Amino acid sequence: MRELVRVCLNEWMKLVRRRRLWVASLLGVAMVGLFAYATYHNYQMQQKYNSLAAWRQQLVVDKQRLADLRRQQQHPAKSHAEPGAPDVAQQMQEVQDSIRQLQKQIAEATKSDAQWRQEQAKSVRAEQKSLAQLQAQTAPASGLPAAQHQSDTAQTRLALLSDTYRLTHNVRPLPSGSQDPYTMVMEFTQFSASVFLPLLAVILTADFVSGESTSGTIKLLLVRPVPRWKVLLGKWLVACLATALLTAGLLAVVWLIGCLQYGMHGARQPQVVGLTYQFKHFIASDGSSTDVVIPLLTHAHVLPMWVYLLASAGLEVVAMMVVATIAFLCSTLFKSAMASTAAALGAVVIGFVVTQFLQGSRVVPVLFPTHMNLAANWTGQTAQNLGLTVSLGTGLCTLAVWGVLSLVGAFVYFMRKDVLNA
Amino acid sequence: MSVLTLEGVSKRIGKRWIVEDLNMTVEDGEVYGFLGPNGAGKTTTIRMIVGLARPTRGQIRLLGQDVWRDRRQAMSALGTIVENPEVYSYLTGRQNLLHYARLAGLGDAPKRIDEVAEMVRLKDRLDEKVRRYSLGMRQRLGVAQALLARPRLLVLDEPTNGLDPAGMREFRELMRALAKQGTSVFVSSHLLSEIQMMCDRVAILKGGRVVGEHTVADLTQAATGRVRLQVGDVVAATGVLAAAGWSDVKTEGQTLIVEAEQSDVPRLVRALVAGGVDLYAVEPQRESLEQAFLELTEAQGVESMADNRSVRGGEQGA
Repeated sequence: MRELVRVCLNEWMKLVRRRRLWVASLLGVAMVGLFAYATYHNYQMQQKYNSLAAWRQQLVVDKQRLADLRRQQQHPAKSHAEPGAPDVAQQMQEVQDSIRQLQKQIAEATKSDAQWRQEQAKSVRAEQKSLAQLQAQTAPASGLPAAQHQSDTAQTRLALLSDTYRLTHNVRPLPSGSQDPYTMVMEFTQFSASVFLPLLAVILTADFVSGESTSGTIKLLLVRPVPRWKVLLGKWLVACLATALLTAGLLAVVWLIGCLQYGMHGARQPQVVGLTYQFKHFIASDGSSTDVVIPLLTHAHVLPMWVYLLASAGLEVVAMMVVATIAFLCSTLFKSAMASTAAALGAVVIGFVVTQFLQGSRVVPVLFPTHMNLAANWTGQTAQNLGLTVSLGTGLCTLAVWGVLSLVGAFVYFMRKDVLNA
Repeated sequence: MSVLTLEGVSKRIGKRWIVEDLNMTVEDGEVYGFLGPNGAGKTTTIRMIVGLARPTRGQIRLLGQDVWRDRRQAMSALGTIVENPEVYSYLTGRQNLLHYARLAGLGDAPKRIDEVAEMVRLKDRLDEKVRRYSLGMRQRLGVAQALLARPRLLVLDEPTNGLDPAGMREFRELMRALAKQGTSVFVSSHLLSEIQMMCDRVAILKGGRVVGEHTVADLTQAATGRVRLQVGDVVAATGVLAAAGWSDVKTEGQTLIVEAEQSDVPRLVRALVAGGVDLYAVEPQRESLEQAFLELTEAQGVESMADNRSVRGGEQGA
């Protein structure tokens, strides 16, 4: 055990002094910076057109316009009455609609908490009622109507899940057009999990063994009393640790930027997890087809956003450690650092392309790039994207198989190989 | 007790036998040379000795411990430099040594690192990045890491590659000093002079087989039955020698080469002096390692190659 600790200390000492770690970190930070800028840009656009202040401004403009139109109506002589132009009455109608819409939005955003609770309770009651109605109906025996009935029931229950949560925990939805650090981290995960983060993991770990073969130092590493498997285990542990730290670190940086820019709110917002979907395909006698999507709620529950975020970050770390393990396998199989990095990058990029290309095929769920964003597996988003019943469990199992096979392959090969011309 | 023994060690890669049936022993405190032309299988043998490659057949023991089965005990007795001085160039010299000290499980690592650095005269530059070291310094760092764990046996593969003459000489002296303290050294080289100056015994490898294992003294001191003379007057000297009974004389300028045993030298000198010939030098000729090496590898090389072929043919038939 102490020997293993010493091997790990060695690997860590080498890792932090190699350029790869800094390249990966810098790339990561640059990407986070760009992402934060894009988010901020988007946020400003939202603030400009889709916030309380914007609505109020628009309301003033609309009222002014309405007054103008009224004056025009009263003094029709002034107008030139262009042919083809919409008449004043119709324009007034449109402006009045817009005003009503804006007033409703403003009222929604500015109503007191008590008011909100009252309305939320009302809508929950309505949903409960409709659910009861659906359940009271005798379900159609089979076929398309049965599936549709099933789907409607599940959708209502799904809506009820988060609405009830909001009511019991007294969590109002965030105002429209706002941004919060939690959403930001989840967006970052979604945007970076399939290619960018795996890329960093590969850069970091794809030369852990091959780098030593390239420089020839592997010879001096393996003539020590420490058994080979321990050397390799130490290397793998440090590779995984580095990947985990980098991934978690980047997510933490995104969260921090979010907190600094937009404040800490949003931690208690509800998030439904443990969800997956079933897809049923019906072909009617006239040849037209209908797809029915049925949410499967057996394991569904609601988590506050901060818990969901922490768990998701953990899942993302696990996924990246699997990528690191695959890259690690490449680094034991190839003698040249260049070749092993290329092979690992190829596995990630080609894997990603293949999953896009084979969209909807049964093969896709068993490929590791499908499950790079495990948080999306958890919320059922992956299932919806693929049109296949894929859950968090599927993702974890698939990644576990890939990881274990890679690790076993790496160990078996490394234990047997002769170091002859490194 | 022998420090290193190889018993019937053979290695096959693909269909080719790189080395076949090697038997060698290195005794305590001995500097053992391993000589052979390039491609004879020296490096493969060394990699098997240090546990980087597994013999196809046969057994290698360090201090009686099998290199593969009792790896931990065997390897803790070993220090090695395999070919070029391979070190982590992005670490400092001290970090490099610390790295290996940790793998060797040294309890007193910092102190020992200073000791070996002193031994190879690297102490002043130890905290610099190895990237900035000269080749000679890297080589010395390689020696330092080999000595770190106080090994009983040093295995060195072409250790003086890339050293300047002063560095080579220093290296030889260090090896000699270590041998005096009881460390055995197994050193491979294709440089004859190197081996001649450093080693006690030498094994000569050719075509994957050991074609001779001799003490360097035996190889280089075997009398050839010739005596070399430098004389003032070649013609007069030849006449005197012929009269005294040595008629088989070769002339090379002022030098005569006479077929005579070492025991004949006093009689020969007396005859020349009595005959009034000016005598400048008398030197019984000895065989050089180079001659021995060439004789051994050429004569038996052909044979062993023929041998190999028949063995391989037999295997394919079976």
